[in-house]
Amino acid sequence: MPIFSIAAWKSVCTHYTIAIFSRSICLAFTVTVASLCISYPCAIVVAGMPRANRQLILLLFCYPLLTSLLLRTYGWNNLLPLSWHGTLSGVGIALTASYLPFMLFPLLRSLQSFDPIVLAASADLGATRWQTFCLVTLPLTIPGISTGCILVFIPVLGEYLIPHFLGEGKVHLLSTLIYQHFIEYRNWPYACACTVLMILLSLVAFAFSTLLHGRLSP
Amino acid sequence: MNNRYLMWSGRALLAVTLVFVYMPIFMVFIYSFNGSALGSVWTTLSLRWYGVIATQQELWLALRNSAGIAFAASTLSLIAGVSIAIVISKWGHMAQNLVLALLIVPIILPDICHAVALSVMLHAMRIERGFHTIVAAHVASGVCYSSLIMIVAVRGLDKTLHEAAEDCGATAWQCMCMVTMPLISPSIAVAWLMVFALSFDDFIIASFTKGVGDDTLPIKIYSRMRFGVRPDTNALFVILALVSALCIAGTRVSRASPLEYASEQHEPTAI
Repeated sequence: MPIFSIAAWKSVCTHYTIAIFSRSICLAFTVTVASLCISYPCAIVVAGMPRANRQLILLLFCYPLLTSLLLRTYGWNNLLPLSWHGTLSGVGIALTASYLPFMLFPLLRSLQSFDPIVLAASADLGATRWQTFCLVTLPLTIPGISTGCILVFIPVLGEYLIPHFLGEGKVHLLSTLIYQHFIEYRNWPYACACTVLMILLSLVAFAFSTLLHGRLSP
Repeated sequence: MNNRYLMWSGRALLAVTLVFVYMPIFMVFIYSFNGSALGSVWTTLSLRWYGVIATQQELWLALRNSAGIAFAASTLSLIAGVSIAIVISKWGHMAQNLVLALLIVPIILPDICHAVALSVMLHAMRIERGFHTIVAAHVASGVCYSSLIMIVAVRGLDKTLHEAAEDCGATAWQCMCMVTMPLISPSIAVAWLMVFALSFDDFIIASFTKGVGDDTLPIKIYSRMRFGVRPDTNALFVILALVSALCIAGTRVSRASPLEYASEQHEPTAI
């Protein structure tokens, strides 16, 4: 008969775990924002292309997702300057490159979902290009933005291989913590408590994006 | 003038982004032709590491394990996915949405959560670990993907085709084999390949659910990478990357229009 205890949760509530937890959230958030900032202009360019070119570019962005993540991690290992190994920024760059396509695809889809004639109408009514972007394009692509952010934020939060290899044991994140305690230390209660935290965080992020989606989209 | 400038800077950004995404892959390709025994120092062009890879039995064994596991997992998830899609297509709107929500949640959660949950469950059920537990774990995550793809495919079907077949006297089984299946066959190919790719590539779930000594290819590569950079690993990666390029080509070919596909087949039951 197992004995119930909250010892694992007590150790989760220590300063050490909370620091790792907030570092993970900050990293995932930064990677999400960075990939949004890179993908959005790219998606606008791709959406304006002729159909054949668009399909080619999409295929090009698809292909890296089908190669092994280990391969890409290994490539980054060779690519990053030695001084960036084992730093949070090095891990962040590799994560951004790996998860960028997940942001691009939903953005592109939502950019193609509305009639481009509304942009011409906005220009006709005297809006500058910047105003058209802020008041027409951006609100119309809120569904794509929220989907893309979820598709990047949550997998980055749980990503293990990239922080493990590029972090070289110096970057402690929630995922490496779970792996370490589950596989190496066999401290299952603690690892499970951390996993529950991760699940809750993912669900909260998902609920938040759904709410945002419902509130902001016209 | 301003417009042109914006357009070109946008294209430049797109090109830079593509380079950013592809750089690590190129790096591995280039270094696989490196003659040096030190992974990170470039010396001469050579095919030496491809020869070395060919002689490493353990890697080929791991590759065979991975392919077998991925084949079993994708086939089982596909069967489950098609069944789920066809069964729930006859349900009410609310029930369908509930099933969809239940299928989406496991996809949203990070893989590591799945892995921990499955490992704890295997322990609690006292199941002996081995390749079968890896297959079961991959089915548990793959079935969500395959059934979502199949649900979308079945929803997109024209119901009148099915009714027409029934009017012409087809039995339910004939309707299934000669109407529904040929129409959803492109999605079947996509779902199978997707779960195959996910399972073949998976490190984290397999490493949490495997038995001692059961190594899939990603686990083998992971343990090689732990002991520093080994140049032959590059050659292995290049071979794998070419295989996934072939997979992409496969999905492109199978994405022919379903009606064309159905009319080309003289005996749709053979599919």
